[in-house]
Amino acid sequence: MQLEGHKTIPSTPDRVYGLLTDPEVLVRTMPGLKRMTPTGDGRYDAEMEMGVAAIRGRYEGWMTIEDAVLGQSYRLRMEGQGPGGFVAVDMAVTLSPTDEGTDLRYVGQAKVGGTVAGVGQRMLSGVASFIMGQFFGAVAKEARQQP
Amino acid sequence: MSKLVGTPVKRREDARLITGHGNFTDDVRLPGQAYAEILRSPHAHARILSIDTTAAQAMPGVVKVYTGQDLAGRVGTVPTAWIPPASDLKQVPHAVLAVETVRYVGDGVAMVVADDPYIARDALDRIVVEYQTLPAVTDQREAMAEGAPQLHADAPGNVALHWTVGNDTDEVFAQAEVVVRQEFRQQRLIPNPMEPRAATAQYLSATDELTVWLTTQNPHIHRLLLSGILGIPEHRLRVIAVDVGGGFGSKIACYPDEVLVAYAARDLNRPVKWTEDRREHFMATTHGRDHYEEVELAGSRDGVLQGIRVKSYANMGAYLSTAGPGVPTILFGLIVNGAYRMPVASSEVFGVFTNTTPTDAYRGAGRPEATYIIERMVDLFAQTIGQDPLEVRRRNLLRADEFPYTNPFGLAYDSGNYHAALDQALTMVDYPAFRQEQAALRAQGQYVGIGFSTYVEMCGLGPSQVAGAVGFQGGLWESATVRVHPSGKVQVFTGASPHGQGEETTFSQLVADQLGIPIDDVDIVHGDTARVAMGWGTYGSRTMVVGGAAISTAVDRVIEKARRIAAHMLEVSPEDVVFEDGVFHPEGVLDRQATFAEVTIQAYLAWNLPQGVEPSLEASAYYDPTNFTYPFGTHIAQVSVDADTGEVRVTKYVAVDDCGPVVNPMIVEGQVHGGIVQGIGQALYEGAVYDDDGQLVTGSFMDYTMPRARFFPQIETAHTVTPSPHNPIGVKGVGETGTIASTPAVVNAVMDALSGFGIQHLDMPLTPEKVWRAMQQVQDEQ
Repeated sequence: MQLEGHKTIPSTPDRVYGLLTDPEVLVRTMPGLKRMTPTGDGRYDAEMEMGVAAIRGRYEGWMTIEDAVLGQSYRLRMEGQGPGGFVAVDMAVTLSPTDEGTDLRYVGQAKVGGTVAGVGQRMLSGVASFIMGQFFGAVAKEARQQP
Repeated sequence: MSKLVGTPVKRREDARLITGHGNFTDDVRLPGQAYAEILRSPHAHARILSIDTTAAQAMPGVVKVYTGQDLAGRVGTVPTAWIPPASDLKQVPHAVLAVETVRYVGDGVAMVVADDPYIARDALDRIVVEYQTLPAVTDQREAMAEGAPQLHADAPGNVALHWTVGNDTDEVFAQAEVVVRQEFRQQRLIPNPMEPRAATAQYLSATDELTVWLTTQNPHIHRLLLSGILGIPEHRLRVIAVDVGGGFGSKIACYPDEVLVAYAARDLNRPVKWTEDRREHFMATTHGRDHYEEVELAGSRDGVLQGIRVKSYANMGAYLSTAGPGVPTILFGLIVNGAYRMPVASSEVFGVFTNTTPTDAYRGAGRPEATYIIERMVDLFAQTIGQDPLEVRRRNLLRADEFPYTNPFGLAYDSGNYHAALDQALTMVDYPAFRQEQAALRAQGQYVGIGFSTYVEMCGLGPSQVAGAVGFQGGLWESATVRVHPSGKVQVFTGASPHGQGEETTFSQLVADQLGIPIDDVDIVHGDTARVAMGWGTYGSRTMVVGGAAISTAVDRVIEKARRIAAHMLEVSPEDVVFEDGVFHPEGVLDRQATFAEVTIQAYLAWNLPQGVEPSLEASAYYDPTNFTYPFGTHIAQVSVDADTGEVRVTKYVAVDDCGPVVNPMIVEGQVHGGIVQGIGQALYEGAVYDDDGQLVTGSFMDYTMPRARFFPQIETAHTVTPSPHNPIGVKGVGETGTIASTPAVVNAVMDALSGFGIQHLDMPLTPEKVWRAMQQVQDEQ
């Protein structure tokens, strides 16, 4: 499943980068993310709660921030296993300055497997866009609160 | 006494089934019973790096967690039971739980046994499996390509089997005036009986006996296979399947799941139950169909068919299921010429491993695929030479005086009257009027079509000799024991294993008529290997044909013995005694008689039996047929296609089937209706879809279109009666005819409706989107 989109965040690229790579901010802003524990080298153990159609539950896994270029770009990888199967995300994020702040662009792939893939597959990309929208909306709100 | 055979006796089993008194596997509740759940792979292809069961094992209420490593060396692998000859079949090992590699989404990885089903389910989430994912392949032709992911070391190129059959077609095709070529896709279907699979097992240490209640169509085959896999001798294994809520072929196979449950019950010395849920069913119960077929049909310009050549690629899934290899080969390749006279024909079949759920029989099993391609090809041929498809059929259908007819593959079609069925069906539609109306509607931009399917099938599987010749690892005879109790009540023990087809009723009709006793004096006992010594089960439309013939033969033996006792009582010689309506009397003398009940009690008292006659009244028969049976018929579908949405509506459906004498017209009608809607399900609605990573994206009823009653018009049925010449009761199977005939009838009708667009063929399912896009494309091009 392709993930692609962009969002304007009212802050500088450096600040936005800081927000997006701060575990505390992520736990506050990412829907369902319950816990992120750093394990070094930009890697975190993570725990998420998600529900797609009738398959709800807690996914445990990891998240890494790779190829990080401070204030410009990074690659986010996540993998989680839960009751309905697995979720894996591999996404490139780039930040560029604009008149209104920062244009955040993301492009990547999400894979789901197991039971969750077989139920409501046609809704999944809609659900994913919705979650991404919620996430970056919350980040934008954080940016406004900490100018 | 009025005869019951041929009348619509209400189903005796229904009272218990519809009032909640059925005895299904999940209804079995045993003291101390534990519950199993199976962890299934979420990946289509992956190496298992590690499995950590510690947290699951530590949960209160968890009895034991099993992995593939735990069972290696303790439990055998699950074999296939069909090895087509000269097919180079690769019998790859199928472990009951994956050890190093998982090969499809749904492959078993671990099993939890717990005190409570919810604890077992929760414990699955606590098992941590580390996978290294591998590239997956789900399409059989891609799997055969160079560089494709390889599933099994012993099956290079993922080829599970390569089988060819038929006679030399080269000369006929080289010289033919017309050769029509078409490729077909038979999409994968997911069988969905109302009851998912389940198993409950109990081990009795005192007698060292293991009992397995199981959702099976063939308990004795299951006993045989479980015995081999578990290393438990057959006489200490008992398989019980009292009520089974449908199978459609998906409950033939021996699955790893029941092996695991049986193993755990003995290992833990405690009853264990496992019940599949519907989501699990979609991924872990065998699927059906899934072929690509490249077909060539040769004929003359004036409409005479001369030969057919088929090359088929069948998706076997990740492992070979019990009957899996026989379905796309024997049950398909031998009958691709259909009901038509053809001097030459050949079939070549590749069975291919892919990272998908294993495939096996699904109602019709091979014969729907064969019928679909020949019936579609006849229409395409008619179109090519500019003739009416009805005329091509009339010209090439075998005539009644041509039987017995041996087809190019050596199948002996022993009887038939195909033109009579076609004529009968044509009395139920007004074909010329339809063609006129079609033209008139087309002028108004409305599209309707009519499609024919003039089919024949082979069923009523055996004979056993043929089973051996085609590599089926079992016999195909059937057993019956008829036990008359001292009071004259009768129990019939059958090796067939009805699971929804209503044979408790139809078998009773046969027996009650033959013995001249009330139907309530007869009970049918089935589905228990401890009560029925041996049998081969219910599939391939064989139960009335083979099982019924066995019962009828056993009843004859009971009557013969009773006649000797009656003759002794009446003081005449047995040859002079007539048995009519339950009464023995000397020929022509009605005032001296002995009723069946009076004879029976004498047989048990044995105070005064004739010389050489043993006490009691019971007989067994082991009936092995001498040929398949060949039901046939004509189905006609009328459809309309919505030009704006592409939606296909079936507006009229006529089915004329010939299954020989009809034992119970109501039950036969039910079989025909159910079969037809299942076949139309393939034509218009159903289809399993895997994504590129091998994820099954049609894994629920939200995503997989099951046909519903409102999709269909009232189905009109009729019959011609051509008895099977070799079957003692003349019957031919009717359990699969609907599914076999209806798919091409409907697709032919849709293609007929679209003929004005110049669309020759669309692959199934003919969803609104597919049909709309095809019409749109033509309009865009114009």
